[in-house]
Amino acid sequence: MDDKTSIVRKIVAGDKRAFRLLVDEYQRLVNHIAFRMVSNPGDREDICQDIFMRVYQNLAGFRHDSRLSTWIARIAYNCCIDYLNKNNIPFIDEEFDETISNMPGGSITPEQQLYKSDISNLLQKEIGLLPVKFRAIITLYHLDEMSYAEIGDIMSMPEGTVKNYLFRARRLLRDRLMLKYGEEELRQ
Amino acid sequence: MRHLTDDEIQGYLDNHPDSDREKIRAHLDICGQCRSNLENYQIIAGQLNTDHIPALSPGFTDAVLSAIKPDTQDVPVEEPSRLIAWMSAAAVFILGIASTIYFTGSSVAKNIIALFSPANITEPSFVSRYKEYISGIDLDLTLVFAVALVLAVIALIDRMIKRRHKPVSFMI
Repeated sequence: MDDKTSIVRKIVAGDKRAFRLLVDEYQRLVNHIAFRMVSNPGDREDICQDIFMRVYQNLAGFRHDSRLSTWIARIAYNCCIDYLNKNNIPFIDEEFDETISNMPGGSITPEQQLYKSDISNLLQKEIGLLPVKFRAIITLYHLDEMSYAEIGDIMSMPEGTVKNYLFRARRLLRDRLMLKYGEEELRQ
Repeated sequence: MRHLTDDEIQGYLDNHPDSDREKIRAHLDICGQCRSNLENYQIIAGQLNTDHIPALSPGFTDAVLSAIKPDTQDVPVEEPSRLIAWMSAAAVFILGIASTIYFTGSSVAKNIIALFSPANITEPSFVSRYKEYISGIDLDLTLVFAVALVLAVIALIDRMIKRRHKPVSFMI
């Protein structure tokens, strides 16, 4: 029996210390998803808490047919989608216009000038302008090192769609940064 | 010379199994434009791989734990005591018999006994001895009632205590 199976069994049996370990281990993953999908900072921690409540409630039904992290990420993703639905925040951006000039913030504002030497800050800001699903995929792939297949499992979409969204998201980010920095400055 | 497509460059970046890495690498060796494209993506990927997301508050785990209803999982779920269950059943049975005898007179009890002891059936010797022994006992109905009531009260209190401490299933 591996560690994950053992910890799940302990939690289901009522071991709160085991649940504490689980929360400590997976709060980074859950926070990543909530941070990228929920723009209101005041709601994020509550949503993360709600996600772990759902994990706790449903853990007995975990069948070990996927990684525990994938299962928890799926709950986190669905929880955030519920939040967006409840608050009438659109998250289906199939018609998202990827023309750079049509994206918000096409020209450099004085505020952005301050960040000009800080690519990472600007990149974070640009990620925030992407459609919700693009943001979630970028985070799961780059920060949580999940495969296309795992992300597809989490977000209930085909692997090919995950790949397509990821490529489009990175292309948009590249184009946005290139527009603001130029190739030479980007590499400094 | 055909340049690499964006999908080919990103597939190469991700080490995607579908990408023909040898062919792409060979092209990158001779094409500055595609190499430059790849380097731009590598810069962005490097940034995306860095965690800039602010962590949750230090008390987050405690907050989650405290949101779980207290003692929901810590109190072992106990089955009602078998002894108490038997005592309850005994109390009900004794109360029933005692009430019947008290309110209808002992003749009913005698008739019931007679029903199961027809005269044409020869009683085994141990039954006769048992009957003699029972008839020698001066049954005090008040005592029977008292015992039955005490048992019933104990069973009732036990039920109430169990119900109060019964864990409530966790609901969201």
